[in-house]
Amino acid sequence: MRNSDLMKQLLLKLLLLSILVIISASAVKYIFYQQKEDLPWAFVSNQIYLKSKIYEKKQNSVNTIFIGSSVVRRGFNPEVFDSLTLNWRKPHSFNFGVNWMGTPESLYMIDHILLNNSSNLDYAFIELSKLKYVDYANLHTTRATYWYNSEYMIFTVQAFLESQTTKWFVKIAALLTHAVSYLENAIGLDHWHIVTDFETRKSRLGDTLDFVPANYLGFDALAGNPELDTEVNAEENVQIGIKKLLNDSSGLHKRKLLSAAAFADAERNIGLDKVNQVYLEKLISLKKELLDRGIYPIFVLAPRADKRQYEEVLPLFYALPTQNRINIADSRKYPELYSVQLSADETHLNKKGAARFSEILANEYLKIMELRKSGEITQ
Amino acid sequence: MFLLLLASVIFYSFSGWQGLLILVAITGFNFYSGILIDKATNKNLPLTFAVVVNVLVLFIFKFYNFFFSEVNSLFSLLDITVNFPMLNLIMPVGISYFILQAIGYNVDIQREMQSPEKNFLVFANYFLFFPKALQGPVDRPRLLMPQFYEKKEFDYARITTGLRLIAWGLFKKLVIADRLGFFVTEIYGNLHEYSGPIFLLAGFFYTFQLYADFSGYMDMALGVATILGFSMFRNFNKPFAATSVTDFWKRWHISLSTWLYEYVFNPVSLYKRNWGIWGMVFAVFITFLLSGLWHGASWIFIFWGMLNGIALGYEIVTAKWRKSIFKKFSKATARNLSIAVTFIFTILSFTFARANTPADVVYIFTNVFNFSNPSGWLNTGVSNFDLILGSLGVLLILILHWWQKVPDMNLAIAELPVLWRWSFYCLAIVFILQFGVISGSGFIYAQF
Amino acid sequence: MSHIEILDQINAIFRRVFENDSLQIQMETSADDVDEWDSLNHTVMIVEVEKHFNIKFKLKEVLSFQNVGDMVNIIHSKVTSA
Repeated sequence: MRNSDLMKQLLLKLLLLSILVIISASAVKYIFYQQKEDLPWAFVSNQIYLKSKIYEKKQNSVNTIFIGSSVVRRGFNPEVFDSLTLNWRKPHSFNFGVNWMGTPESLYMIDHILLNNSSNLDYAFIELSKLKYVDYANLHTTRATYWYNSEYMIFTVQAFLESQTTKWFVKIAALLTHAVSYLENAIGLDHWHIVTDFETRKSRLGDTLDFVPANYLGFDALAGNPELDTEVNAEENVQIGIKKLLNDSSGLHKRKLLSAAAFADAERNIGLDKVNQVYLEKLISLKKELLDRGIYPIFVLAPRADKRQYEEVLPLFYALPTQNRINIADSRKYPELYSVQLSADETHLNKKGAARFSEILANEYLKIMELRKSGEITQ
Repeated sequence: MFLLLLASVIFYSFSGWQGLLILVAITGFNFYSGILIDKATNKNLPLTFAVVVNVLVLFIFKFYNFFFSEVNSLFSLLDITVNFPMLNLIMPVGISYFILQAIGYNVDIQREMQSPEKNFLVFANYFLFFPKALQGPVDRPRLLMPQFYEKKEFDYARITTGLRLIAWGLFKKLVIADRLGFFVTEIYGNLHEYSGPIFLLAGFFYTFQLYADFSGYMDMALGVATILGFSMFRNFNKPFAATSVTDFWKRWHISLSTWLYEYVFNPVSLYKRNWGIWGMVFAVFITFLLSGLWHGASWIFIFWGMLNGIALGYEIVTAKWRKSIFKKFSKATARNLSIAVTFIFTILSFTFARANTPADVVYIFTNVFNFSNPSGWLNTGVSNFDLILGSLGVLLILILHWWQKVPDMNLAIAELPVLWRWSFYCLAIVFILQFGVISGSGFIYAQF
Repeated sequence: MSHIEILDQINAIFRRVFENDSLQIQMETSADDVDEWDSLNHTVMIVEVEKHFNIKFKLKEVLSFQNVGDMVNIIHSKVTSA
């Protein structure tokens, strides 16, 4: 045989072997993973695991939940919110904000906390997020790969392809990183370690769980909760963040201007036609599913977003029914949410800021409740 | 050829352009120094110059801070305030290996064992050859350089051999070494929380972690080189089957040991040949002192080198005596006994080498038989899975090393019937993927 | 002294140093061919050879020995020039 033929043959064999490897790895993973039923979906990160455990404990009393990213985690103070909405049905709210949480991972989260659990929930706030890709630093980590299944992978691919606001190279990067993560999940990369390590981690985190104060409702004013996370320097890090911001607040100022411009455009209907239909359909079907379970969903625009977030999320936001959405991102309406005084760093609010965030949310929530009460909303 | 150089340059540039620039500069320097040494009538002068420059480069990057911080503290003991400034340099990737090869090249030309390379492309290709960039082998120019002139043809068997080597290397690195690493890091990272024989276990595991990690990397590098059509030094030859510490160093990091033998031990021992056996003891001590220094700029490595130097010196002095004693045993018993003694020394020596400070060494060896904390024995927080899988890996290595008639695995696999062979490949890769330490456990939280 | 004579005398030294009475070396013999020829015995052998012929090798000369023949040549040149 000629060399080029041999080379082709070798490449073909390698390809065949790769396919065989993927199939057998998936099979092994599938068979053994199914047997491990007590492995909770939330094992991937201490933060998610502990929050889900704490929420589980409080499930009977909690009737309002807020799912979102670290902006929510550090911005939504359930105590403030509950105290301001007393005159309506007494809410017991819980902050399920988790660092870096966004679409599509957050949708998976909603599935597990809201749809797969019998709960006492009446209201669910859901932070609207752009379609995220796995950034380089987090690629190959358990957190980045745990949630993939065919359903979410198909949604992710379709949504990215459909997106009119995402640039082509971002699309390619996103599809690639998601594909890699999906594949890693499918073949059970480093799988046994995760499964077996879980017991060890569970017992360790179980101890941590005992230290959680009874009144903890998921709100973490610091970048890390020293009691829940391994982050020991949370307090210091916040000081560093504030110092940095006091030195140079131009980033925050840019975000303020960006918000004003984005909402000014939206009011003039600019860019709102670029609706990501795949994403929108997903949100609408999610909304229906939640309503079927007696949970009233409210989609929230949180402050301090970036450009891609506005471009992608604003058309979705305005396509949702008014009674299911709250906007607290508009810097023209809430300039204080973009002030240095209320900041922990460029993207996060401090404790005072969180109080203001929760207050605005409460006001907007009450408006929707008034509408529901007066019968204008039949849902 | 040009592509290969480009690949190497890209490989180095991952660690920063400053490092690459320095390596290119050293390459250029040695290219010309080689030619100069060859032309000179008195070859010693340009050789000395070339060696001094190379050593100086290594000194600046690796030892400057260690050396002068010691000097500073020495002066402060004498109540003199002298402050040599500390340098904050990023060490270029592989510089330690790079310099050894450069010195070897210059010396070989002076010894007229090597003619200077006149083609800069070949020369740069040899020095920057990326499979050996990170951890060697310390290849001799006279063995590797001519291979850059050979025309490379596609060779099916060669490529599959290379791929198998890579897979085996990955297995050793990801499944065995990194698995053992969890335990070793835990113990050595929190030394004072532990006491008792757990230190021996940590040292034992560390020895195998180091072997699996290093030899795994070596196999991968060798595999890549094989695929590209190059043969390089085999750096390990079943080190745990060594029958003496001398034998161990002929089996462990062979390319470094032979380098040290050729350029340090041999000249020194011959120079001091009139001292008889003590000349050799002196030479071996110097050799291992340098070896220790080369491994790392710290007192730990200096002591570790001296420890090995003493062991080899002991073996030189007692060679005849030991031989007469072993004659009283059967051949197999003598071998097993020698392997056991060497093995124990190896573990002790690496237990030593892994410690962070001399104080830690003292702590380890004074507390290793302290049984006051029996409850904390294996309660390290390292999962049983890591320990069991790691131990199985250790067992596998030991079987492969101690079983004398073990067949050449690479060949054995290649000769399997096709169905078995493919099943084996498939299983092996799945095993590496699912049992290896691949995904990072730490998730770096980004904003949002 | 001819090369052959030198070789014969060296052979006697080799037998003594390497403790092998049946050892028969050639010009092409190198360390790989003799089991007992390790770095330890090598140095002892060099010292013995120097003593026997009453010569002194230069370090560079010793390092350049690839086989017995190399050594014989050097000895020959030293003995005849002396």
